[in-house]
Amino acid sequence: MSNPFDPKLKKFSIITPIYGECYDTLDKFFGTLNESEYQEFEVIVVFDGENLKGEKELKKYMKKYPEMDIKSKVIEHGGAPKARNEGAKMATGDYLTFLDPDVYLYSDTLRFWADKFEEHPEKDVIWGLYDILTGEGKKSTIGGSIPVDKDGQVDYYALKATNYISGAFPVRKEAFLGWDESVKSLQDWAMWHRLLRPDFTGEKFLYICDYNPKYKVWVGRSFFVTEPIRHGGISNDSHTNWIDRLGYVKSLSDIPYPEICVTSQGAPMHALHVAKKLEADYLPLPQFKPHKYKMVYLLGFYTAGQSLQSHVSVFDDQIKMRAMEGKKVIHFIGTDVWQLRHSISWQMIQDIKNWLKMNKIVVLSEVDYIQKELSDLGIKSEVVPIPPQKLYEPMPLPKEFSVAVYDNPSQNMYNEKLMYNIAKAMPDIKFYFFGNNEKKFIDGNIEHLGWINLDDYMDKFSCNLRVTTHDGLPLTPIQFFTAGRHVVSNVPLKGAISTDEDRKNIIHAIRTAQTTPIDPKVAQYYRKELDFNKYVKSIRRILCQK
Amino acid sequence: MPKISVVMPSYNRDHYLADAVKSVIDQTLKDWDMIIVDDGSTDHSKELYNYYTKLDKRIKVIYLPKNMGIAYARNVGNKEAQGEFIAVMDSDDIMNPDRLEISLKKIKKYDAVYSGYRKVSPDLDDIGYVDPPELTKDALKYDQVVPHPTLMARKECFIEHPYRNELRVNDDLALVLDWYTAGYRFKKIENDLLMAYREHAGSVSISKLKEVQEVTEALKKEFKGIYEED
Repeated sequence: MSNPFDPKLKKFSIITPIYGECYDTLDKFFGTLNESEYQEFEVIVVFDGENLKGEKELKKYMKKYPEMDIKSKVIEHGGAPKARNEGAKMATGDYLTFLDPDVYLYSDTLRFWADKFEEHPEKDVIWGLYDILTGEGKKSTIGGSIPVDKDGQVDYYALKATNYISGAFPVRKEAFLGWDESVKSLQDWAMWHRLLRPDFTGEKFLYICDYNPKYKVWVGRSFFVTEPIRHGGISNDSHTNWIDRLGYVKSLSDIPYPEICVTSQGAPMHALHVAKKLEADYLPLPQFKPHKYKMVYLLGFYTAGQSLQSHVSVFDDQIKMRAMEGKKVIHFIGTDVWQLRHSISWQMIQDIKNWLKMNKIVVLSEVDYIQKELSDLGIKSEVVPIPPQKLYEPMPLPKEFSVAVYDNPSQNMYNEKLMYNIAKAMPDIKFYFFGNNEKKFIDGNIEHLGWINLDDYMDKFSCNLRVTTHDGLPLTPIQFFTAGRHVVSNVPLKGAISTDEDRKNIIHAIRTAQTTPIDPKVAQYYRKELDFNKYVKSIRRILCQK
Repeated sequence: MPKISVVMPSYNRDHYLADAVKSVIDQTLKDWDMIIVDDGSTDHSKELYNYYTKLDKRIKVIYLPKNMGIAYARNVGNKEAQGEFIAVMDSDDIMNPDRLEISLKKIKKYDAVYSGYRKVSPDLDDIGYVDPPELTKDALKYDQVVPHPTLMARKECFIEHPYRNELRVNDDLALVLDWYTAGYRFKKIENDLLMAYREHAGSVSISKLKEVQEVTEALKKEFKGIYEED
């Protein structure tokens, strides 16, 4: 924590390039800086080209805020990256933050950043969300579309395909590698790439994220607010030359333009992981700018509510963009087919069928029983199972037989109450419920674990109980199979001890699991079928199909 | 010697047993023992018996070598009972925590007490309740009156007029008719629903409806004095 009485407070250098008449926001800009709770900063204004009016304007604020350390410099016009680099040269602070004059920090932001840098000496960059003004004093939060895993962690592989980090976020001065002055557009992306190269692990980056129990998601807090993007400005990402501009930044980091782009709305982490395995780009929904991917691969086709529109538009926009040569692939995962059957009308299903056919969209399913469900709706699909991120090696079973139940209250598909009653009906067996972050307590033979990493618990579990309303190819049971465990399920999984949704039958199936030795062939089967090399081969084969 | 013996026959109910036994263990009145009579179960009931007999020494299990029928099983349990009173219990029902305490408080000068009960789904959602009348001859004419799962009575009653071994259904109705004829004093416990009764596909009342009807007719003939007077 920064101590307000500590004379050795770390200092921010706020570097602000001004080009032409872009100084009309200075009043608000300096006003917010003046209100900052953390006052250990300098402001370095760099005029990108001679700017008499601008300099005169700046003097007003130097006079208005005599306590504020404001410096300025005029350079020969060379673009914003050059101006920022020149400003960085003058910087005497510990942390650099490149704030354009239309970026307004919130009053606690600098203090928050200073504290985080102190807490995390191993990190060089702190970033998160920010707001953008949308007119009439309203604002919307952006920068939140990056997939975040169950621990609030970011996989920086996503930065290979597109930028998520505003150039206004702070970087330690000694780590700063400069702005590439040859980059005309997507400058911040290129700047962060320098710090992410070559492996894109992002281990020096700290994403500020908190678990929001109300919405059951990990979200960041907002650090500043910006004016809306000016029309006609180069940062207003028009579609002109988009592919070239994007390709140029990628080329600086030796990132090839991949053949496949993976996208998803319902399963972004899964899609990002799959993209990595396919050496593909991952882009969040909604999209799309022009592209030259040979395949756009949509993971999950969730048709409830508004989602249908954004899913359909993935390809419709492509069609409008005349990028139709590319292969279009939809992979039905999880409960997609169930959603399709239950949450939209029969007529809508017919429309979707026609749309799939007309646009020559390749439909994939994960497992034979889903293929059949799709086929019953008149949709032809090929089975390509998607492996879980991790398969286990068979490991010894715990001494006492125990049952693990995934408990996700947000989806209402896991028969939570029935599972709980079954656990209570079998008091001689230890039950673990996991997945529900709000529940961590012990109730007799039932232990609620909350979110867990399966790695830490697999050796305590003998058996996975999964009775769902509907399932695709569920990943958790497969992880249990590969670890050499029983699975009791109403999903027709190979090797599972099958049950239906009847209490008595479930209990008997669990007793069967308790007394039946593990067949090692089941683990072998899933290791062989759910191999990522096999998966990648299947997708590449589809890519090459005429 | 315990004040109350809870006697519970059970046949292939491993999926409900735990709720039933736990509700006995959780009684506010502690001076009881429990006799479970396993009527030749072929499921995993034994695992649960082992678990509970280890957990609570007041619980005892008698295994019948083969399925003998519920009346027979109840009689075996009642003979083994050590308590001054015997509380009826079925393996798919659940006692309110104060059932034994309240029943004991109310029985005093009576021979048998009973109460209303809640009807619940297999997963224990409330689906209604039954509030029986006081036991009178008039009431008996139209109704079984005594909700059997809520019955608690002096041990002698069960010994002197046991369940009829030959009956697989309506053994409970026959018991009430026998006891009434013998002049035992019944008392309804007012303003309390002391049990939760599970309605499920396996409940006798649904699956054996025809047999129930036949036995009822036979009992009506036998107890003409109650059913046909006036």
